[in-house]
Amino acid sequence: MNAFSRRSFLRKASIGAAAGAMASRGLVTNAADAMQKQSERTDPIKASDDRVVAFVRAGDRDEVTVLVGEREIVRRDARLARLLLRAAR
Amino acid sequence: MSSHREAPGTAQDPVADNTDLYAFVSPDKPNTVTLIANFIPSEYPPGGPNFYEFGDDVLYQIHIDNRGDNGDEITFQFRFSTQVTAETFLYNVGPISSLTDPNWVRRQTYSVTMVRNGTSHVLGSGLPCPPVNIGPRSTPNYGALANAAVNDLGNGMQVFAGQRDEAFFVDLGSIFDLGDLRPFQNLHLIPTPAAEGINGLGGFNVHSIALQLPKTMLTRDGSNPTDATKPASVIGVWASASRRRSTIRDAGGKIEGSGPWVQVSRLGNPLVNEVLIPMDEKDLWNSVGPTDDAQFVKYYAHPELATLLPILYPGVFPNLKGLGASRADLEAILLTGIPSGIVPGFQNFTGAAPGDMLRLNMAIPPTAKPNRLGVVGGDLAGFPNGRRLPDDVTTIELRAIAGLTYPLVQPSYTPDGAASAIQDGSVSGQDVDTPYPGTFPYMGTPHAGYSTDPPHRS
Repeated sequence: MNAFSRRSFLRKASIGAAAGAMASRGLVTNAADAMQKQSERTDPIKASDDRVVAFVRAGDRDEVTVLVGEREIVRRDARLARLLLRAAR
Repeated sequence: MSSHREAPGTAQDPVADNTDLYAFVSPDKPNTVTLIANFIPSEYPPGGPNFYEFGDDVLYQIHIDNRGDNGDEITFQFRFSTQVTAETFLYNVGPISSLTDPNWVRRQTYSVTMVRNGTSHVLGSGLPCPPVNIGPRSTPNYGALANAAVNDLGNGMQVFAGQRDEAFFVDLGSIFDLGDLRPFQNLHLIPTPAAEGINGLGGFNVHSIALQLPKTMLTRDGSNPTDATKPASVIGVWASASRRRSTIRDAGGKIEGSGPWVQVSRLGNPLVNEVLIPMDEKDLWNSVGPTDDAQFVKYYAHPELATLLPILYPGVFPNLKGLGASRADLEAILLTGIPSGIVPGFQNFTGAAPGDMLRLNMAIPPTAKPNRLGVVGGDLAGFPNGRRLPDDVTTIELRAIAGLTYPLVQPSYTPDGAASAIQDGSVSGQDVDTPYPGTFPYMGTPHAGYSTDPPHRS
């Protein structure tokens, strides 16, 4: 994920992230729309209407887990995790 | 109960709660094996208007290990889909006379997928479940509806998924009252006069997934097992229920899952998670598979109940009280299978690695007159050689834990006299008023809501 798409992802995901953080120890966000630009380029979910859920576990603040369809993608990305956490404040 | 509401997690999630698992050579088709995985405990038959059904958001699976590695070389997956065909608060708007009757408003269909060595094959889709058994006006010919829901998958395979009469029997009311066994409660630490057992599950229903498969589909080499001494004649069987990693509750009541399937319930041998695994590890036990069972061996080797029996029944179990050794007999019965040379003419050993599964030696033919105590009663076709519907697994496991089977591994040990006598005294409803059908899916007709008397208030 390049810097531009990551910013786009985080900007659009922030509202859902804040709500999700209250509901669980992690951070949950609905970011299907935000992922659209990225998916158009890399395309693993372009044709899918699947919801995308991203969260940061309470025990590991350097890792972001993304759920889409029946897949789980774990990204070791401290900067992305910090941005999500900041959006949750 | 066998595995009904046995863990904190499944007690809150009945749709994904494995309650019982059966695996036996089909008595009327001995070249096939029948596997039955039951879910949704203690269905109260009148429970409408939203009657019991499988979860559209649950992945149900039956796993087969045919290489003795506690893995699952073959997995059968079941996914359900609910359709509502009219705008009404009712389950049905008239008598349901067939599985396509427009009077039936809320119905389920399902798919069956076989995953073999990593490759998926859809065996059937859009397969109909029968309705639940409501009563003489709504489901007047329930037997015909259920029979129509036995689906042929080709190649000798049959499948059924739907409501059935609960087959498991146990005196729940007594056994969770400080380990009371009514026939022996005069000997309990807090004594009351001895009494007959009561089947606490009598009159309740359950949802069953039943599969009948040719034996040749299940063996590792495709052979028809005829030699009970061969390792290839033995399969391990376990079942599971899984939910998606994440659930989002949207406005408007819509619920959507995301991410991979995560196992929330499993079942191999009856009563294990119920009785052997301590409270704070039951959800963990449910979340893993047999390949991860080494961490739980200590609870099989030193069961808490074996310590409690001599305390709850003072003076009745002196030999058990003095038995501090690791229970290799229980480990063999429940975790590895019984090796050759222990029980004459029998083995269901799958290797030294511990894994909780039913282990079925498919080369042992069905018995014309089953003994409900299975192998302990001299009937090699019964539990723990797989598990049949009438097998009295509560009594079998009670007696085993009480020391009856310890001489299998330590011949110098003398079991207490009570070890071969204790039982909870419960009798299955099938033995009383609703006999097991002799054909697939073998589980009895579910109790109708209309015909159910509510429990009397005391």
